[in-house]
Amino acid sequence: MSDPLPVTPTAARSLPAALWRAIRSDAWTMVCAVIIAVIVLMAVGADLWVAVEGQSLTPDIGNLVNGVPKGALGGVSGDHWFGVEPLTGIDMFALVAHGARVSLLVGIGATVLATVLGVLIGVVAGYVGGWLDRLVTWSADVFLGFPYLIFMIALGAVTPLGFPRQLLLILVLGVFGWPRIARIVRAQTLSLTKRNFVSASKAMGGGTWHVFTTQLLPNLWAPIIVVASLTIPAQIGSEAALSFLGVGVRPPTPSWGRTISTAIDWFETDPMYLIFPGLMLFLITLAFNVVGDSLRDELDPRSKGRL
Amino acid sequence: MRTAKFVLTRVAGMIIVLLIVTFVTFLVFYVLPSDPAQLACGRPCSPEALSLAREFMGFNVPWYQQFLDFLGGIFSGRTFGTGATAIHCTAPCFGYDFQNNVEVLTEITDRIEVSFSVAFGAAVIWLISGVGLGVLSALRRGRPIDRITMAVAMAGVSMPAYLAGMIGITIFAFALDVVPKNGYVSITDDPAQWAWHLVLPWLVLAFLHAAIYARLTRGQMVETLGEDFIRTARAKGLTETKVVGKHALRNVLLPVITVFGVDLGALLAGTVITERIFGMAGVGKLLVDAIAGMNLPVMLGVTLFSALIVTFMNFAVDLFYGALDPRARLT
Repeated sequence: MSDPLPVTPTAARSLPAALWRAIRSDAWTMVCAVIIAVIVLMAVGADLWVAVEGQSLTPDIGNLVNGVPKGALGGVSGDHWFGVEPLTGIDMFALVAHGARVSLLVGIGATVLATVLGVLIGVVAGYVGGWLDRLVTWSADVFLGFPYLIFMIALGAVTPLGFPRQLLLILVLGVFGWPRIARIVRAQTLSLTKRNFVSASKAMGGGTWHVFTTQLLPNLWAPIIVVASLTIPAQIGSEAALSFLGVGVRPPTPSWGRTISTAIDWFETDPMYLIFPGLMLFLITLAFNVVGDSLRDELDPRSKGRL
Repeated sequence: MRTAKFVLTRVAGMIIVLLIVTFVTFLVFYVLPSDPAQLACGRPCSPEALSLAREFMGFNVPWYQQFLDFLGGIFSGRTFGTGATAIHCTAPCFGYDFQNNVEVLTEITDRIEVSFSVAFGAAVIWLISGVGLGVLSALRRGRPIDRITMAVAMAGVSMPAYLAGMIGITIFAFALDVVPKNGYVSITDDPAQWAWHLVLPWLVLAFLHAAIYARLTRGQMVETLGEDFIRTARAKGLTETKVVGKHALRNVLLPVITVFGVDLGALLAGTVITERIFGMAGVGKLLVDAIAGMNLPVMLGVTLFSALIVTFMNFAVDLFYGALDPRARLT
């Protein structure tokens, strides 16, 4: 049997090794990897760092004069590393650090869900083929053409208040995220199933599950990892956009998107209020994009210079 | 004949997609535990008044009956209540806003000009500049212009719309004071002012999206220029402009158009954010206000209307794709 469809060459090295090579490949990627590490550490140890700073998430109008932060630059000082929030006097570093936790939790959670769904659906569609394949391809088109952000806005508005918001965001973003991953996995599976080693495995009596785990999956992980790493920043951005519009994470849980939304109304009097959460959101998205890009170049040498 | 079959399959697919979208949206809005009648009834709300409100709005029947009523309203209009207080909603009826006593479709059409002006102006700018910069980068691969374009593109891809919008307003409206800070002027009132008020939103949206197109175009162009048929074209003695502009670009545009089709959906939702930042009252503002006031008929109407537009755009892109690439017509 010949190979009618091209198969992305798979690098025969482990993921940590590939990641390390990608990070070392140029200075920019290195800087971005450090940014990710710093923000992840900030999110994981949010309580610890805020305790080190000596502040908390409680409002303190003692930090304000006429509702505006005391001191220059939005109240940035040794006590308040990122200044304080206008009107409430909450420490901005505490808000940003705890907001990082929400962003990363939702971004990574939604990506994991979308990846699991996408891989399962894509493999089944590519392996079984026939009407199931057509159904999956068509549903993926429907999902991709759906004005999902509007739908999520509306869904966020009608969901009961008692439902945990972070979980809702992970579910909604994850469910809407599968088609992109399923498409890539399906195309790869389709070309893999035509290859001799898969036919051989089937001929030797390998069941569907055996073929999936031992023949297909090892050849699929490279594209999966690359798509997943580029899905994380998109999901973080969606979470922030929904919170920005007031249908994401609800107060008092801190969220970058919501802080940015209020900060916009204060922009003329206190620009620093916008700068810290805005910069953080930009940096984490940029960093994930750059590292994901390098990882792709590393795992798929043909893609060098492509999107 | 083949073209007719291609168009017909796409139309049939579009109708099925719309029916599914309508069904799912309807289910989400009316089966979830929030009661539009309860919200419209006000306080104090006696059980009698509530059941009256339900009956008037057509919520006293099972949900599938409501769904069919809603679908019927789109094709033949519907009447809420009976007698002197009855409200007639003419076809196509996308629901009735009981809070403001207007048909939802009227509210949408009153504001659609704003959203369309923002979206289409930006789309034109980003498509031209994105593809142009992508081609330029591909031709000057590895040179400073390529590296700068790709670095800026990376920043554009990573920047949230509201952040770019605020930076734009700060620099061009507040610091330099060259463009208006917010607001919208209808194109029928004053075309010059219309464009003047839209310049900043257009440029901001275009900057964010052009980035993706520049990266995509560059990658495709680099790959296409390595193909055999390009070598053939050069060997024939064609000018470089013809080789790139005619032979290569046509191939590069195919994936770009596919992405454009998908992006139109995101763009329509994106104007929700743009309209908020630039203080414009378009369909996005209508949706945000409806969410704040838990105005379910409006939320449902706007969601469906957006789905309708997105599906139609994808259909148009499909047709265009078929015109550009004869191979696509076969499937």
